[in-house]
Amino acid sequence: MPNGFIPLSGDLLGHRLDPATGKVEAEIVWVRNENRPTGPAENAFVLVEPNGSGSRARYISWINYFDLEYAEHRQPGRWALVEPAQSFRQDVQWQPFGWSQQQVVPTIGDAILDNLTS
Amino acid sequence: MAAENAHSVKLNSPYQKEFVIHPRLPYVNGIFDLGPNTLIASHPPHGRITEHLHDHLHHMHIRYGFEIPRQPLTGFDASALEVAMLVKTAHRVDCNPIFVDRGPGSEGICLKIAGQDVHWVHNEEVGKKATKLYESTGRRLPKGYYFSGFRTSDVDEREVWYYSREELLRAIGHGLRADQHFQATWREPRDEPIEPYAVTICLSDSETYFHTFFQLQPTITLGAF
Repeated sequence: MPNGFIPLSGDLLGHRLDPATGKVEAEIVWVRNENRPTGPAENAFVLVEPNGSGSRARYISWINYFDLEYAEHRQPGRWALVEPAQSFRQDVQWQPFGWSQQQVVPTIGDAILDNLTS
Repeated sequence: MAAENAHSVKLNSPYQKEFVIHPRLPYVNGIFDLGPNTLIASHPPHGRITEHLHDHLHHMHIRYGFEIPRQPLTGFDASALEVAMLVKTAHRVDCNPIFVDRGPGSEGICLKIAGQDVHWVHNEEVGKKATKLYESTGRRLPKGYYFSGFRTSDVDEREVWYYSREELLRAIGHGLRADQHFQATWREPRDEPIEPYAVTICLSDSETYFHTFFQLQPTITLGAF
């Protein structure tokens, strides 16, 4: 395993897709075991995306399939559920609070916030 | 036909159709190790507690008790309970089940209606409804806040769940007392504490006109209850 990487395992619940090609851009994983302090906490939802020759992962605030369904509703064709969940394991760079210019995931309340700001 | 209608309820006003619920101080002390009168409390990331949704992130607990008094529940066949919370736009909030006791490991023991734990699902229509009700009396949402709404749900927290009048009457019995817990966290997780703030709550249901607003303070004002 390359330096700075950790083994990440959990349940794969969904994908973020390139809507033009359908290619998987990122994966949504529900972590089922405790990995702190070097990795994510038990029960956390994380987003895993390719970064150069490897992958990086960060926390997201989602808690269940409803969040994926909400994301798919907000951005049709951009998200796909994996149901039933599949086993996931990959070595990743763990960056719990993200990286610069990260893509914000849709989050419940977005539609209401749109109206507040419009 | 006349016999079928003999037992129907005639309502002169839609306001007679009510599902009354009263806010109270929390009933069960110590779920998630919160003290008896703690309504709002922010925590840094900590160890795992089952049913705690954001224990690994900076989060703010929001909790209150409520009482559903014995009542006839006339005028509707089924209803979903609703709750909306006025939280900051940088935050999302998620609901725990309704708790009626404290179990091992700081967990709560869930209220069951119709044989299953009562859960909640996000519902933006409930958030809009709370906003409309709040502003219909001259109030305006403070800048930077929104009502995050929920309805009772299936155990997977994906679909709204309506309880029949009979199921509700059985659960309420001579009066139901329970606690509700939520956890707010950053919509986009960040390594930054959440400064505790007062949260306005709206309780209502999907079928009647009844609703009630109340506010939870990080530090309780004695004399307010």
